[in-house]
Amino acid sequence: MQINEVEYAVAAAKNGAAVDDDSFEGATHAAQAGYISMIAGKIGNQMGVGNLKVAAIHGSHRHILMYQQKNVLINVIVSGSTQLGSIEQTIQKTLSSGHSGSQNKDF
Amino acid sequence: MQSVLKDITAIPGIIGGLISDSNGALLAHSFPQLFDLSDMQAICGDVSNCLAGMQDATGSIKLLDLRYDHGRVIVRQMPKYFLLLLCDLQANLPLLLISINVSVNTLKPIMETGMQLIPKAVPQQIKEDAGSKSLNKIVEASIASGMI
Repeated sequence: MQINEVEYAVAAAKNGAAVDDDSFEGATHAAQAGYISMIAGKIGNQMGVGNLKVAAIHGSHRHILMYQQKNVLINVIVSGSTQLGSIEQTIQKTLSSGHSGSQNKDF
Repeated sequence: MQSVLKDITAIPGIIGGLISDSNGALLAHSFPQLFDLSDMQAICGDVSNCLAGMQDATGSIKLLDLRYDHGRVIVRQMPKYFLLLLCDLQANLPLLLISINVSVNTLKPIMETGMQLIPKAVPQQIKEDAGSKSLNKIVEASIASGMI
């Protein structure tokens, strides 16, 4: 399934290494997921709110939606021209319906 | 600053909030006492690092929304500071975002005044050394009287 507003999507290990994606872009976005997971994990520990499930970053050029599951991180890069809230449900539905494939827009 | 935090913490679902400068220094907070001050300072540092670290990837970050098992952390970044709120899972985000906008607007003059209060290095006038002048007079008087 293709979502037009999604610029890139990659699965990553907890250490920020890309899974099934050898591209430079994939490695970059996977590392971002690892970094967000690490920092958000520290903040969550200090606040006592449990494990991170989702990190949504609303940026001026790009948005990031990072889903954290038990052993994998899924980083979805969304175009900054769209409202992240409006597209989030579509992404979540796609992810939960089990569409696979890590690269570029295709879930 | 404290009253702004107090107002926003009064919204149902908000547990506490803090304001930090962009370098991660805690400026004010409204968290319950069970939260340790050193933890809050560490959180400010972590959030500041995260905002700086993700800047290249996203452009400037406007809002950071971290959803956990038992709570949600919302960070609104402004040019010189950020506002962090800890909410429970039932918090109404659209309502909260409106309240955050109001708080940011209220904080604007406070933060600008705050920035003006930071001491600036101003070049000072060179003063004449009164001590050395009087010493010269004593020496001259001593020479004139034949003591030296």
